[in-house]
Amino acid sequence: MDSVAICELDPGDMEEAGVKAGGNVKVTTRHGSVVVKAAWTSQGPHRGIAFVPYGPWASIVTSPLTQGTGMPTTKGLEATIDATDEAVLDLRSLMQRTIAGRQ
Amino acid sequence: MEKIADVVCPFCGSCCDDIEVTVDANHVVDVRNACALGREKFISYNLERLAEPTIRADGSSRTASLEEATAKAAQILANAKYPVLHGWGCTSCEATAVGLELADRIGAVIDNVTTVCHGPSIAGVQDLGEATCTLGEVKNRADLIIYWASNPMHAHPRHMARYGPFSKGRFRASRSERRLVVVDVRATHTAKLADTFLQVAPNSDYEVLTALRMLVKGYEIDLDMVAGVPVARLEALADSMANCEFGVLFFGVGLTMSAGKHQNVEAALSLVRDLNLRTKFSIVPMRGHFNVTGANAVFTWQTGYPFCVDLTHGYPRYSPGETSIVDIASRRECDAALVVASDPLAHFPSEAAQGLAQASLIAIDPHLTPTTALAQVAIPAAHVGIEAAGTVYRMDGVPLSLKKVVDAPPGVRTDVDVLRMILHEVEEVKR
Repeated sequence: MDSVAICELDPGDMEEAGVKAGGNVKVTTRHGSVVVKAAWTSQGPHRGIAFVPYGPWASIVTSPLTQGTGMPTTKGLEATIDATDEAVLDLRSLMQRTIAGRQ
Repeated sequence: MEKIADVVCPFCGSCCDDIEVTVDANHVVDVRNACALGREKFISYNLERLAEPTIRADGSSRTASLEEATAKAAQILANAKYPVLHGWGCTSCEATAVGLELADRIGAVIDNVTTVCHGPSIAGVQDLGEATCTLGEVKNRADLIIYWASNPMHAHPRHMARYGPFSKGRFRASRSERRLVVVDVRATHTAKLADTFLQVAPNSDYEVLTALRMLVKGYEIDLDMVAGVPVARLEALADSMANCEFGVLFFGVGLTMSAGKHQNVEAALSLVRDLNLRTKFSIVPMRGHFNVTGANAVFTWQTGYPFCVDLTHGYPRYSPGETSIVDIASRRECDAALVVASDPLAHFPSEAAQGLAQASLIAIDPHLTPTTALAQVAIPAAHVGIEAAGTVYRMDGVPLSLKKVVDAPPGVRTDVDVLRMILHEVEEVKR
C-alpha cells in the first residue's frame, strides 16, 4: 500500500496546488476518483504530470475504453489533483467499493 | 543444504537464467545473482499463500477439497453461456496449453495478460512485421541502445547489465563502446544513466517517432520543437541512429497504454524498418510478466492468434475490442470467468473489474489476492518456477526451462494438474 497508494508529483506542482508530501490527495479523472498519499517525485522534473503506480488504487481512475484494441487507457489521462481530508482506503475497503453491489 | 545453479528467474520478461538458489529443508535460504525483485520473489514466495481451495456461496466462504473445488469449477464453466479464460502470463507454457484445450472444449473466449500490456504491440507487428533479434545479439553487437517509454531500472533491473549498455559482449566490451538513449515523459532513473535523454510530452510519442522517420529519410522539419523536444536534438538522434553499426530500440508500455496505442508501435516499427535501409537495427518489446511471451506463443500455435481468442463458435476468431476480456467484462457479457495466475480485479479499470466480479469467478493462484478473495471458487496452485518446473519464453522469444527448487505445500498442485482436473470434470459434465 505504501508503494502503490501514492501519487508522485513535481515539487512545483505541489507548491502551486498547496499539496504537501505525505498529505492526502484526491485524483479525479472522467472515470472515477481515488484518494492516495502525495509524494515528491524522484524522477522529475515533470511539471503537469502526476504518476500513480499501476495497482488497485490507480485502477479506479483509469479508462476501460480500448478503442477497439482490447487495451484500456492507463497512461496519459487528464486528471485533477486536489488536497483532501478524506482518508486513503485500505485494500479491502477499496475493493468493496470497486465491486459495489457484490459481497 | 543444497545449491541449485542456473535457475531461471520467474519474475520479469528478462528471465535471467543465472540465478543460484540455496535450499535448506525445503526452504529457500539464499538467492545469488538475482535483482531485488527476483530475490524478493524467491525469498517471499511463501507469504500470503492461498492455503486451501474455497467455495463461496450466499455471501460466505468455506474450505473445500481439491476434488470438490475442481468439480464445482467444471460445473460453472460447462454450463456457462459465454465463459472467459484469462491470465497465463505467470504460469508455464504447459499450463497455457491445457487452458486452451479447456477453452476449446467448453466454447470460451480465452485471453491473456498481453491484452493489458503489449496487445497493441502485437497488433502493430501483425500490420507491419518486426525487425527483431535475440538479447544475446544486443549484448554482443549493439553500439546504440534506446529505451523508449520503458524504465528498466525499476521494471527489469538486470536488463541493462545482462543485455544492454552495461553488458560485456563479444564485440562491445564496455559501456564506453555503446551509446544509451532514453525517451520518456519523465526523467526516470534509467534516463539519468543515459547519454541522451529526450523528455516528450504525454501522448506525443507518435509525433516524435514520425519526426524521426522524416529525419532519417532526409526530410527537413520546419519547426523548432516537436512534442516538447527541440528539433535539433531529434536531428542529432536521427543522425546517431542512422550512423550506428547495430542499434536496438527497446520499447515499453508507455507506447501501448497511452493515446495512439498500436499506432505508436507501428510508428516505432516503421522507424526501425526505415533505419534498416541505412544500417542494422532491431526492435524488442520489454515484456513484463515472465511468461507472457510464452502465452502468446502457445496461443498462436494452437489457435493461430496470440490473444483475444474466441472459441465460442467452435473455431478461433480474433477481434481485439470485441473478443478482449476488458471489453467483454466492461459490457457485462461474460457469465463465468476462469483466471489463472493473474489478479484482474485489482488491476483492470473499475468497470471491467465490476463486470468480472458479477460473473461466476474461478481463480487458480498461489496467493491470496482480491481476485481469489472474491472468487466463487478459489484453488491454490504451486509457484511456477519455484515449486513447479515448466517452459517459459523470454521477451525475445527464446524458450527457457524453469526449475522446481522446493516442494509445494502439502496438497497444493501445479496449474497443469488443477486445469487437467477441471478439464476431466468438464468431460464428465458434458457426457
